[in-house]
Amino acid sequence: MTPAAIAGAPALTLAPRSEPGLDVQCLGLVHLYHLEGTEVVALRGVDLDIDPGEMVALLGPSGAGKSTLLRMLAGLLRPSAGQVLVGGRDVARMSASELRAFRATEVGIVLQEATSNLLGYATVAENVAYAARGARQRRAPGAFDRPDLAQLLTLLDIADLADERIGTLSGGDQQRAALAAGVAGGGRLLLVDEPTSQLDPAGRDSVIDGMHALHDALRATIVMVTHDPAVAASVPRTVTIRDGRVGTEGRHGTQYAVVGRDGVIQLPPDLLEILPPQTLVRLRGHAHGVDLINADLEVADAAQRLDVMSETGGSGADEGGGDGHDGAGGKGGRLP
Amino acid sequence: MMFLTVGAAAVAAASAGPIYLASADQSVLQSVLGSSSVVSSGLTLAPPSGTAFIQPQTLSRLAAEAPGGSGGSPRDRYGPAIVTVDVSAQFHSPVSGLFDGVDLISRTGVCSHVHIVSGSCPTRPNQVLLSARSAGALGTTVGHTLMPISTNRSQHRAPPVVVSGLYVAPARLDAFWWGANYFEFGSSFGHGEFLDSGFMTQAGTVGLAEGNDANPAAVLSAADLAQMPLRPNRIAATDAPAITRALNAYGGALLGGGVVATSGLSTIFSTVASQEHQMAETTAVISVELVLLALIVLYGVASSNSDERSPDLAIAELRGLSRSSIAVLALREPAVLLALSAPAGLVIGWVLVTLAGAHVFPGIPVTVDSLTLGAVVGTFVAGCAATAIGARQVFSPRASTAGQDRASKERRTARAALTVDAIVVVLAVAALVEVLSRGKTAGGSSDPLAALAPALLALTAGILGARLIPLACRGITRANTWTSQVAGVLASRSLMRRPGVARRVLMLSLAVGLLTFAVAGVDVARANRATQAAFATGAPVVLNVTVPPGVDFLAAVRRADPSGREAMAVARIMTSNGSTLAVDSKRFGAIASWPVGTTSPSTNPTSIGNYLNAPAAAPLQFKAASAIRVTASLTSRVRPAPHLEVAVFDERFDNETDIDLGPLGVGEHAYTASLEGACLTRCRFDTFAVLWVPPAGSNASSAKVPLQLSSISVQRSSTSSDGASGSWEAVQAGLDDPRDWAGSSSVILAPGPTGLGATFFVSVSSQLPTLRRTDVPAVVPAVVTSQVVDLNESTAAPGQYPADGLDGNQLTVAGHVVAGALPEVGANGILIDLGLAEAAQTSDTGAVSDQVWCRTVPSTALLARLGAGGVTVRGVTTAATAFAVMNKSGPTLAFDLFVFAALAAGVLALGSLLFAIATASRRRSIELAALAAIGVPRSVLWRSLVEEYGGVVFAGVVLGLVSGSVAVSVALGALPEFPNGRVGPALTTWVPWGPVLLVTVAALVILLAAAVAATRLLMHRVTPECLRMSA
Repeated sequence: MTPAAIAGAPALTLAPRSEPGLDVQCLGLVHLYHLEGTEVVALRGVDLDIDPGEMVALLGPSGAGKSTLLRMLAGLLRPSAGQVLVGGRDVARMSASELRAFRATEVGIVLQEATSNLLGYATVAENVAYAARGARQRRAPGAFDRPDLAQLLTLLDIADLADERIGTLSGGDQQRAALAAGVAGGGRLLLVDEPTSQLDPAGRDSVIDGMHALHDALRATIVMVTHDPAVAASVPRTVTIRDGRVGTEGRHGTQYAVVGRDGVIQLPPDLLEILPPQTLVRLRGHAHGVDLINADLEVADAAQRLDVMSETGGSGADEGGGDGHDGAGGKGGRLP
Repeated sequence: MMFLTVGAAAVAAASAGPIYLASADQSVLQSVLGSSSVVSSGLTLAPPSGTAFIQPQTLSRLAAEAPGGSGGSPRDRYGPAIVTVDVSAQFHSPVSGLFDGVDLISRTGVCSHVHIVSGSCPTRPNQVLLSARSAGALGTTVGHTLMPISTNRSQHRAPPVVVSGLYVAPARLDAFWWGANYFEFGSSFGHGEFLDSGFMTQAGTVGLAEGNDANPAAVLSAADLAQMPLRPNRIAATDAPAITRALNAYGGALLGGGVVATSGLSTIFSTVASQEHQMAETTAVISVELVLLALIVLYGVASSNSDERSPDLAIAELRGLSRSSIAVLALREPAVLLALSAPAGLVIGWVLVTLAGAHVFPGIPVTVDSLTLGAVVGTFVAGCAATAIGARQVFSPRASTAGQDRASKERRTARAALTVDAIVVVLAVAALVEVLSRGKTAGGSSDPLAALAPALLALTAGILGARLIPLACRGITRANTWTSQVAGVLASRSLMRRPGVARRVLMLSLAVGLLTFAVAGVDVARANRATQAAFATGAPVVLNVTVPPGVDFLAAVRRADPSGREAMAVARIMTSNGSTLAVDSKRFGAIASWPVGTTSPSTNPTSIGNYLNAPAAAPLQFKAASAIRVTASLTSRVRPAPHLEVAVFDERFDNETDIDLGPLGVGEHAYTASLEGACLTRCRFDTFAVLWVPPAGSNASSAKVPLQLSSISVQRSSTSSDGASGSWEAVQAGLDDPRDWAGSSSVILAPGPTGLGATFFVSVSSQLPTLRRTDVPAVVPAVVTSQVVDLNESTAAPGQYPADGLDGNQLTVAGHVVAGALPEVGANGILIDLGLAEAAQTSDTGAVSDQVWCRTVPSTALLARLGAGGVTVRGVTTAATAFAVMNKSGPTLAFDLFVFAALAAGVLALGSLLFAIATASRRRSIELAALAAIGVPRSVLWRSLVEEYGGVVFAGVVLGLVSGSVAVSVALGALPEFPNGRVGPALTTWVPWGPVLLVTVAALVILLAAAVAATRLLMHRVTPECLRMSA
């Protein structure tokens, strides 16, 4: 997504919420589920911090655990271990009614298929009103009321579709309607699961525009799950989930590995080619970080150097330690 | 819409039962009241017997105060009181020279119930309306004056009465006459005759009863009473308790005032209550079955509806709506629909019962009572509960929240279904065992479990079918995977993968099972009722007749029907020892309704008749005689001389007279004695007896009297009209044949040279030795009931039982044929030949009822011939009438409800099947569209659908037929078919395959046609668009 596309978003008419988005903190999240007699590990110790009002994309291949993580954030699934803190409250310890109130007033979730979020036979406006019902029942201050509704739909550029039945809308329009329903309760955390997975490029752009518009207007924290790197790239922060763990993070186009709370670090796929599993790595710390050096290659390199030194009479013991960067001839990775 | 429909069906099913029950109760009441005599149902007020005559005005006033029961005015509930004053009088007949008895009656409205042929109805106290034949017997006519005389010894003369008119006695007695016979013309009265009643004004009879100023001593004995006929159509079944209480209170109050109120209404109410109880049990069970059936369907619809609404509810949960809000969201619409369906269902139930009632209980109003409204409310609540259970997933985590647990959830659901199925099967088996162990209840009592048996058995069969079909289809699919039977494989594969479709077998099996049971039950019960009605009545048509004294009833009927195939004379007497039914055995086989298997050993009616018709000598009958002469020879002297006595039975007056022929002298002599008053019209010679008294002071206590009896002759009476007056006629006594005579134990018979040799051993200590004509066997062959056998098991000689003859005297009968019951008389009685019974009769107790049994409705000619023979028809009873009454009984009406229940179950099953097809149509259309897209011909796809649903329908119908048939064999005998305890021919419980198969095939065709039509519609939805929709 390009800044130009974001710039094309409709003018903001919705007053920003007084309260910022909720922060999210995942501590060692583990989730197991049973499937036909076997236990499947969906998450294996996820650590993740999201600041209030931040917009984050969870990126990863299918089955990586992104959606599971998203449902845990919404309180739809309880973790097998670990903690999910949303706005400082442990979601896993909430009762069923607290979770309902939580989803009605604090968190909005948009599931993968638009029809999972919307009543197909109802209009867009009815759907948004229906979605806001739980919040209104609880007299939540952020719940959208009738005047807000028009502004919300205008914000998402679907105001003219307010009275259209969901079943008659295009995929992109359905997803934007779903986004409207997701925030209708006035939630300060919007969780969106694969909003663009079945959309054409135009639809995809409209949805992403809508999300940005919502983010700007509501100052809500937005967590989006996607498997599409291009979509993820439109978001300031991207967290890659792989094999049930947080892999790398991308910030403004730059990829970073993330050190977990237990010190575990997942290497990006390109580095895994250099440091495949079971590789013996030597860590060399310095002022900007740590160098990971493939010990086998280092030994071989050293031997080669020794051979060279023996041929030239020089010492290789201090080679490679210079600025700590693996350099062109280096056989390791380095993190800031 | 389905919700509305099923909800309405459930409410209709629930309300139809109570509505039907209320109307059926009323129908039973009306039927019982209708078949009860006016004497039983009406109210009679009279002074206690033996007490003084009460002013009829007092009776009228008390009658007007009769209770109205629960709010009704007595004048509404009872007809106007008929006040009767009956004054016993006699008139001297200048024609016969005798005093004839005439009851002088004042009876409210009597003149409109007799046909006045001359003169007019009495209007003055001294006027009397006589029957034309009475007037003839008295030699009087209109305008003549008669002098009533009291019937007691004092023979007071009352004031004279003037004949104001003549009437013709009605041929049959209607309810107005209250069961009394006011027209007894010709019956004996002392040495005169009874004539028909004479009708007067009330003032006239009261004057005769109380005397008057002119002649205060001339009081005739009188009785009075007030009778109030009940108006059955003014009585509601629910009024019974209040009416009974009010009548009891009223009767108690009257008793204190010296008036007795009698009514059989309480007994009638008890009978009705008994039938209502039987009916209520069965009706309740059927209603509960129907409601449960409807609730099961409702549950299914709710489940489907819940599935359909599942996304909505998932979204609601996603958006944090409270549990109560979600529940309201899920259940509000069904609840509203159910609420809307309740009045609709009530109306449907009412309409259905009204339509059914037009056939089952015509003329009975169909009303909605509080029980019905309670049932509607109850069904609404139960419907809401069923809906809530059907939509229980509302209260469980949604798929969106627990998608990974779907498999385990399905496993839990399957386990729960298995548990429910197992519970139903266990219940069914337990019920089956219970019903089998209790055995048949002879159709007279009820076993509610038996009414449940068809549903339980059909449910069990359905459950087994629903469980086995997927397994069978698995095998079929495997076996045909590589064959060209594409349609079959698709059908079996679908059934294998989707047990829900096979589950429809359950409803179908239940409906067809109930239908089978209902059709078989109704058919069998109807046949049993017809058999029972015919047997209990005795013959298709029974004429209740009166036979004047002197008329040979047996001969009169034989003369009226010379063919011997249309009418049969029957006499019945009921005594404290039981009943005796005497039939014309020669005609019994042709006319009596006597099902084979009624007796043990099983015997047909012709054989029964032959068995009863034992050989006997012909009775020695002779016409009116003034004297009798017996020629006898005493072969040895006996001192003192014994007297020869004969017994002559006057058939006119049913009276036997012993005639002393005087002392016997040695040698042959003719002994003559007068028959004055002993043989007025026609007589029968019965017995010889020898009377001997030992001489005073003698030690002799016995004697031997050897006699030769040569002849019997009688002198014709002076009143003889055939010109034979005074002449002597020989009676063909057959004294030369000892077989025609039988002596008592102290008589030895031997053929003599000039007649019958009989040696009488007389003794002061033993009974009088007698020699009787063997016109009656010593032991009369009879069919006896098993109760008679049981009662006399310890006392009677093997195979011989004491019984009462038509004169009330004891007969010894040979009961080699035993029946559970006998026509007309029930469980305690004997059946003998009428000819033998008459021959054994020596007096008239007045307790004998005469009937003419007819094979068909008697022709006018037959009735005329009977009338000409002196036999007057007073009433008619038919087997058809008895059958019709049984058809209005509680158990019958309950059985009829089985049919309606079965039809309702059929409609529900059909709806359930169509609903299943409709709800699966979207998913199936996508599947079929995909198959069509890969080249499977549409015709093959349609055939697969037809085979799939057709297979389910066929399996359901077959299982229903089997389970229904088993239920008939097991449970039908334990269901009440008759209102009260029944005795009589064995009942059948065989499955009537004809009607059952007919109905089953019809059900199969209808269900298949519906399934084919529905699948055809489904096929119309199968288009390539479906694939796009699925995407």
